[in-house]
Amino acid sequence: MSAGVEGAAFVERQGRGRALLSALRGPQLAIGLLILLAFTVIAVFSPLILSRDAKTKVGDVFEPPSGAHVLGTDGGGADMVALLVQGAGVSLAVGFAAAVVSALIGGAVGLLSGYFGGKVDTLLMRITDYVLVIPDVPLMIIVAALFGRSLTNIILIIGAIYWTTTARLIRAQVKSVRERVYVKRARAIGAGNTRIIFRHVLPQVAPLLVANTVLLVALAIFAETFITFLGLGDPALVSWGRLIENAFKDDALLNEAWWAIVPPGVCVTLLILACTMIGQSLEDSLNPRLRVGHLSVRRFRLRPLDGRLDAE
Amino acid sequence: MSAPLLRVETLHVWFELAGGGELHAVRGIDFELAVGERFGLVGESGCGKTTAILALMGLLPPNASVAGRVVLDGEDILARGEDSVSPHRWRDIAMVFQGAMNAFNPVRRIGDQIVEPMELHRVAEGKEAHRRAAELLELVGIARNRIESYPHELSGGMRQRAAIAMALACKPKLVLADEPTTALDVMVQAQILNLLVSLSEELGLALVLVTHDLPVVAQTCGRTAVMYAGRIAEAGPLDALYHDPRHPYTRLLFATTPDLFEQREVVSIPGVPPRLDREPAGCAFAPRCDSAFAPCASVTPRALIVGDGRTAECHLNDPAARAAS
Amino acid sequence: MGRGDYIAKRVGFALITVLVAITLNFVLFRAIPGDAVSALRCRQCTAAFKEFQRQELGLDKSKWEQYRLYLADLAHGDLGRSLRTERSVASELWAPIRNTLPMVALGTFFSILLGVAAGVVSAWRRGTIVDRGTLYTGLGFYSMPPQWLGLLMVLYVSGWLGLPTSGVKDPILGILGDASTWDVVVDRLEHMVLPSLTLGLVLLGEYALITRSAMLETLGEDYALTARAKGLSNWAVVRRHGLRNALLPVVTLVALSLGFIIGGAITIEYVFSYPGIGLAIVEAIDKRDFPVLQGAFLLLTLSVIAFNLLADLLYFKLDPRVTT
Repeated sequence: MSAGVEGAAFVERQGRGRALLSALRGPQLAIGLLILLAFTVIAVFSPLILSRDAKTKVGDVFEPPSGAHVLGTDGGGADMVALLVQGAGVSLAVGFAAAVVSALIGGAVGLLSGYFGGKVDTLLMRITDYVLVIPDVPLMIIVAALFGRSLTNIILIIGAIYWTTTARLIRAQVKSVRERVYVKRARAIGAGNTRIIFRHVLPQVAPLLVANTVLLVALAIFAETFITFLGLGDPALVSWGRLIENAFKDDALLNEAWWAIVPPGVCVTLLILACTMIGQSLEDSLNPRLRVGHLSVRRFRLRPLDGRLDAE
Repeated sequence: MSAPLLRVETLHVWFELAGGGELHAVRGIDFELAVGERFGLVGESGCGKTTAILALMGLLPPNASVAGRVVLDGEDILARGEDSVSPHRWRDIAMVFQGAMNAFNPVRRIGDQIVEPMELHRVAEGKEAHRRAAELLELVGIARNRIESYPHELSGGMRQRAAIAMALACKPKLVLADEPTTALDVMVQAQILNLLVSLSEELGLALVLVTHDLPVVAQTCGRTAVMYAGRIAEAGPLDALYHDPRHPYTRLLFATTPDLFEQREVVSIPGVPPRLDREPAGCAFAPRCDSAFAPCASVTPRALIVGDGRTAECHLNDPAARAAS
Repeated sequence: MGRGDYIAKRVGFALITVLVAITLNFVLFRAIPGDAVSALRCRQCTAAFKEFQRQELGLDKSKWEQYRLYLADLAHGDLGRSLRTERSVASELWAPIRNTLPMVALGTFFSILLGVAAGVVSAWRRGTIVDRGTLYTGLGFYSMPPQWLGLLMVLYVSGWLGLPTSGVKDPILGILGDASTWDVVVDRLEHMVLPSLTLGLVLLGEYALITRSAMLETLGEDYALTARAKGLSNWAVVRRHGLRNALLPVVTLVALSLGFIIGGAITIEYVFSYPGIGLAIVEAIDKRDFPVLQGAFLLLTLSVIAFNLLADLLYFKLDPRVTT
């Protein structure tokens, strides 16, 4: 029995809600949500913030930061701040749309596989295993290279490849939900599969699916920067990945124009950091591990006994 | 009576909680153990019994703090914390954990894990240590060649036997067994308990058996302590506790155990144990007690001697309290 | 199921996956709108030349016939010919592979070594400043796009360390005078450091995080408590009972992240103009040289499958419980 068992039993008595609350109280989730919210607000209101297309030339090439252009200009003489604001929309759209595609495919595969088991499970998991082994990023690059450079294509490509871990995660969860008493009871009183899946199983796995989708957003945004960097992005659109590509292509390095290189990467990093922190905190709170490690450089303390505690 | 092997005095354990506050898991317990004695520590889960024996070996997590004395052969082994307790670990006090839980590292061979403490404490080394490990396995009824096995290749009962063999590696004076049979089926349970009793008798080994299961104690132990909410509610010889319980909790605990022969109704104790993140007012058991009376809600009962080698913490044994109400 | 069956099963799975990968590769490249030749961009690409290429590639035959031919060619190690240079794809890709392998190996090795070390220290000092520092540094690197980190390296680190930022060797080395083997090796290594370091840093975070949580979980197991009860010091518990168990998820993770490693390597090679397989892919994309692209993708897939198999076998070696 684990040494922290009394503490664990204590938390257990308070119910799961407490674990979720403690995760919510942690700084990780709050920071993550704050960053994500800030970027989303910027993305949604970018048409209002920007008076014209961000790619418009407003100054010299690689103009250093100044009062007029807080982050200077890029290799095309466009204002960096405006580009970043416009890029937020595209990057977030790609991230969320691709993540939703992935979550839909992965969720469906996981649900069917875990719920029906048997041959369906074997077949779907086989397929998942194969997709898992195919190197994802190169495949995306190849498909993007072959099928053209549009935003929809990129979203579909990313979505169609990143569903495997979701499928496995959901499958495992569904398998355990399926064995719970109320699901068995529902089946015993003759509820149909569709009804059981939508009424009993889906609500149980939905939170996990949401947490996982947030993690997928991070992966998808990452993938978009890969694809775009290799010149396979949608040529009409400005995304953060595109800004990194532009900086590289336009020789920002030779011009030592750090303001064209650093900010878009910082944005991507912050957003991915935020999604990872949110997704991880949510997953942890849904799947609480209350085990206490038995070793640490710190040790248990000795306490002198005062009279109050000494009952004898 | 000669000097006891182990004397535990006013042992307290607190856990600092993540959300702030403290959990007073063990609230001052005392007991003694003679050489070769088998002692039972009984109570519901969460009563602090596991924490108490982990505290004896200084095996508490860093959010714990401990007070009190644990005197082994005249030495207070907790006096200097980790430094004073670690030389005694496994050398003098060994442990057997719950059967279902894994006391063996799944990726290392059984034999290597039994040899590990021998080499650490310089009891035996190399070939000699492996020979001794094989002998120990034989002693607990496992084929010698099993030292080459991995834990998953053994059944639950065998693994628990191997865990007992591992506990004997350094010829300890005392073995603490925490729910050693809980996860095993009844037949295997009986075998393991018999093994523990016979080893204790043959090797003069003292045994503290921690369990929630009264029949387990009945099969193995003489003196027994019943724990409730971090304190010892009643202690004494087991048959005395059974025939003449002096604490309502002891009586109710026996009543919750089904009996094959007596046509008596099996009851359950209503309510749940108190939360220990604040000190209970009065007797901790009072809210669930069927015989509670006036002082129980406000006055904390003291341990009273209620017979030969028996103590109980209940106002019912205090004539003054009864007279007053 | 015996232990021996496990190996047979994993090898079988790998072989089937190879077939699936080859088929996928075939299907992908035939499903393009238009065909491989019409997209080609080069100076000598006249209509007559394209028609000749179509016949050469067998694009006038039926799909099944093409598939059969593709398999037959592959069986002979024939990956086709580059549309651009007319040379065989295998020889086109040989030099880039020789450049990529040591770079990726160095980066991965660096990340595993440092990541595992950081994860162990972090778990061991959990809740301390060291732990938080490791956690957030790891998370930070994990969140950086590799190509961007590469650019930062060129911008800020290369000058400071005095390391070259492009190519695989010094173009004038050995021209003005004889270069010793030692000089050549040092030169190669110097060119490899920054790309490898970038790749290593990007991967490091994830390995550190997974090691940390695996370690914490392992140390929460009963056998860790037992080890403490036996009198082992904290460090001895980590070394003898924690490390090997905590390495198991790391092995799985490395295998799972191979696609990402390769993807990262492609963009990193592009940033550092490092003439490896990634740069070859970028050039092939640029010139629409599909046979080269197809060959490169097939090679990458096959190597991922091979390393997955290797990881499976390593896992088998580390964990005696594995039987399926």
